[in-house]
Amino acid sequence: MRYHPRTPRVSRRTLLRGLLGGAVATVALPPLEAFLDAHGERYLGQAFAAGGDDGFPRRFGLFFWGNGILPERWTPKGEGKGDAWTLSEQLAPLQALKSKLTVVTGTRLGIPNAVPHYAGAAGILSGRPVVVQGQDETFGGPSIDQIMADKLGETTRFRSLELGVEGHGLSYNGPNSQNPVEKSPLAVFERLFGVGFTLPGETPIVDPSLGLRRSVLDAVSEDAKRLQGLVGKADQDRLDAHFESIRSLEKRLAKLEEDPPDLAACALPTKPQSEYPNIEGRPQLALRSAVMAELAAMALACDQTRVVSQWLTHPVSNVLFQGASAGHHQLTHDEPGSQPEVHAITVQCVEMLRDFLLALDKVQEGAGTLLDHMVVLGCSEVSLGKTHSLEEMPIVLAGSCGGKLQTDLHYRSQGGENTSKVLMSLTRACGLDLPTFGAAGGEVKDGLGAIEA
Amino acid sequence: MTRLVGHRSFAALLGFALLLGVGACGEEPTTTRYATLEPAAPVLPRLTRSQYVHTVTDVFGDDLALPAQLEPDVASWGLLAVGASVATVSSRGVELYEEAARSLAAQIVGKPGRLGDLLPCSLPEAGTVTCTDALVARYAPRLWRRPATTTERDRIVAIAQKAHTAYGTEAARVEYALVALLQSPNLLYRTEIGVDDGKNGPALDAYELAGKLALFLWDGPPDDVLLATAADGTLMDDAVLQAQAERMVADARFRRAIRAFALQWLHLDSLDGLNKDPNVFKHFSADLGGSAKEEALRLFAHLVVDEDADIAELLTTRTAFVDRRLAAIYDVPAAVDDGFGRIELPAGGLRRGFLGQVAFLGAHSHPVSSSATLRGAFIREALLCQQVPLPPSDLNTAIPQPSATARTLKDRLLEHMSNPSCFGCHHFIDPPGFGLENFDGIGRFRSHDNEAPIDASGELDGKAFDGPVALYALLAGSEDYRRCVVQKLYGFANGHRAGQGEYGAIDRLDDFFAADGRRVRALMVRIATDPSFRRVAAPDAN
Repeated sequence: MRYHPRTPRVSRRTLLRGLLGGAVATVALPPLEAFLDAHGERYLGQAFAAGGDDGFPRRFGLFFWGNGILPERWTPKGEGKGDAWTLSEQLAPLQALKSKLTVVTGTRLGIPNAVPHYAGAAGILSGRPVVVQGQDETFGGPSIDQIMADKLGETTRFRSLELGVEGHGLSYNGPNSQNPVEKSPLAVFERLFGVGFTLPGETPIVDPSLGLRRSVLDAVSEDAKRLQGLVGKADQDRLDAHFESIRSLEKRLAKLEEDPPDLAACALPTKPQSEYPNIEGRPQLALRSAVMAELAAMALACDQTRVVSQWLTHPVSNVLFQGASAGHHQLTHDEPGSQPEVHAITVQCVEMLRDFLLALDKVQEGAGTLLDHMVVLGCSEVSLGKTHSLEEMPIVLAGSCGGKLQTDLHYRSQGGENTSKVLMSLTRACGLDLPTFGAAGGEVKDGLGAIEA
Repeated sequence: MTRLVGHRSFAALLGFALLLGVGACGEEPTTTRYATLEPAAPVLPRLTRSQYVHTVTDVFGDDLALPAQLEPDVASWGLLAVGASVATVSSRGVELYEEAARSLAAQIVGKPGRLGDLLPCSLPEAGTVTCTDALVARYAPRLWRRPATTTERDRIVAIAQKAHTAYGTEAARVEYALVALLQSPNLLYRTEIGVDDGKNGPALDAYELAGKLALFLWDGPPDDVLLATAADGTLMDDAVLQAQAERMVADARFRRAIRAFALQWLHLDSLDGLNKDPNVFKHFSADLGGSAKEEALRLFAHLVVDEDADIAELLTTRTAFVDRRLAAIYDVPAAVDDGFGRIELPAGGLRRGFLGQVAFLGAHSHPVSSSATLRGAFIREALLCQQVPLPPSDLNTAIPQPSATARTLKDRLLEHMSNPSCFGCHHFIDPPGFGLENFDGIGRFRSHDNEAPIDASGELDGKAFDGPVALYALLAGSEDYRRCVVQKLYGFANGHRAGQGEYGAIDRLDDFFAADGRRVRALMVRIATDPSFRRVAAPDAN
């Protein structure tokens, strides 16, 4: 399949203008090859300002599971590129993708371990210390997916996608502002591929509601602005965040009106079942994760969004995994000895990460795959769950983000470099230009040169 | 370490001193006993999901298909109503509110024959500015809890005009006016901007007071009667406020507020995801959590709304509402074949009230076992308003495996406490949970744990108890429990946890509650009519 824009931006906009004021109408638009190079592989248009070298947009994926790993069985053997390293026991399921991976070990979070699990979650995902408010905790700033979405999510129908398998997500816009996860694959399907979605090559329907929705959002943001002038500082900030999100949606609707995405790799995925019931009290995690991965892959391939996070489980999750005799979190603390059950659960998590990556790698885009044009961060909030350790943080990176990151690499940090450096490198690879990443002990100014290309 | 309600003894001492001081002069002590109110800073709570849904269904009918997803509620200090004042609408939340507004407006307008009912004018006039003006004037007060300003109205009318032009129908005109009304921050946030009468300092204005009353006592929008008292300003009069509050707690919608409070206070929303290992617990089924949640809500609403009972009964009553699934777990006959029926639990049994329900026993356990620690922590935090310290980060927190000397969970936890670094917290957290060890991880009665007999004795803040029934009585009669109900309802009403400047108000409400037989309905009227409900500090400008 090819990267294959079909819709000319200019004429479409003109058409729309002409149509607004009349009833809903359908307009057939001819395919347009003019923006492709001679091989039909390189997009020459302006649509993807954040695109990589071969013109495909850069995207970001996050795959998170809770309660950590067993570091001794996680760390790969050997260091460096290619044949210099081999996957460990816990990473073995990723063998088929080894040439597209970087595993980073030996880094540590620079933030204090103030609250078990949540400090680690805030640390690895935002680079900041957890904020404790009485009995409750929140992040001190946006999580990595939302940092990426600030840049990558400016033009797509959805700014970002938060998919929950069994986890309630930790996607934060800022303090006390958490994006909800969608746990029903069918609901995700309806949202992405139901009303409002047009397949490439299908006759697009000009929809006057887009302009009206923008007008409503404009009025709504005026209401928010008025309120802002009447409340205290903290509430001003809350309304400001609300206001910014309204503006962002408004801009994205304008972009859709002008330039709807239309990509060759885009195809309608299979409609998921409405339910995936537990079997013997154990959720069908692998199946549900794989179904979500298919939806995520097509959401990206159809350019409905460029930022996806998939929350397999969450910190302190006590979910019953297949074959486990107790909840995951309880096992990490109470299972004696070498913790064979915890090990088996970690391997299951890595298998689900593999299936997530394979779904992305299956999508051909030009000479490469969707996975090549993005980077996926696979991680958990602690290393050894038993002690809530924030050293030896587990990090798997997949995809090179259009050649910006190394692959087939095991980078072992000597002296425990700050884990935030890895995330800084990811923001760079995705085209962000941040002066720093994180805050307090988690703040860094530089990435990890060794993993960048 | 136990941060009890520390201000209580201070306030009591202060009250005592004042009484001595003024009592000698024979003056009326009741107004001076309590520390002067220093009003809290204004809050800006986002409507909870249930408040949003009730707003839409009260105004447009309950036959609407409700949005499958809305911005989730967030708990703070255990309450969604308090979390609503700190939670910031997420970027996904904005998308969800937009989708919800469009879907609801399309349904409202799309119902056959509905347009005529909606319009404040005749159908032939539906396309006029006058009619759209009137539409906004009719719906804004109920949806926004105040009338729209001229500017706000004109903005909506302009959108409606545009929709009319784009689609060529009056229906589109009305639909987009509704989309704009439903999505507005004026609906989504309850404001406390207030007015200053120059005498008592800033206070909510009449519409804000009406809106706050409705969200507190009905979990929904104000009705036209209440709005009329805001429109003419009479609600600012103490007697009118009292009459309105009393009218509202006598209305059927009061039950919604009671269910909302129970859901939040007792953490019942977590039950939707209740999961147990069915190999360990034969009585588990995927829908057990939903049944357990409904049982707890029904009992609480029954005690408060139907019986006007002493809140102590929540922990001591033998009345229960069970379906067949729960009856099987409690080993009692179900009263009805379908749905929930009222039963009396056996007098000789150990099961009573909320602490004998799956909603408590199952929710605060592990998937394969009970947990005295999780149960104890919930009792401390939610029922007694005590602070449980955070677990340590860098310690191995494993409890010992069963052994010949420590077979039961209680024995293992006691062995665990022999480690001084564990003792500090666990001797505070675990003992109330020991009293409930006769109930397994799903809430079934058991006499043995790991084949050893269960010893359900323990100690709660210096008072020994033997077995669950004694524990229920001890908790139900405690001052901390009574006062915690006051504090939680105060937080639920006001959207924030009482701060130091409000301790006098808490003392006043608590004394009333104690003297009045600990009846929640009367307490809620008292909270709504207390000066702390309508007075606010000037906003913090920083």
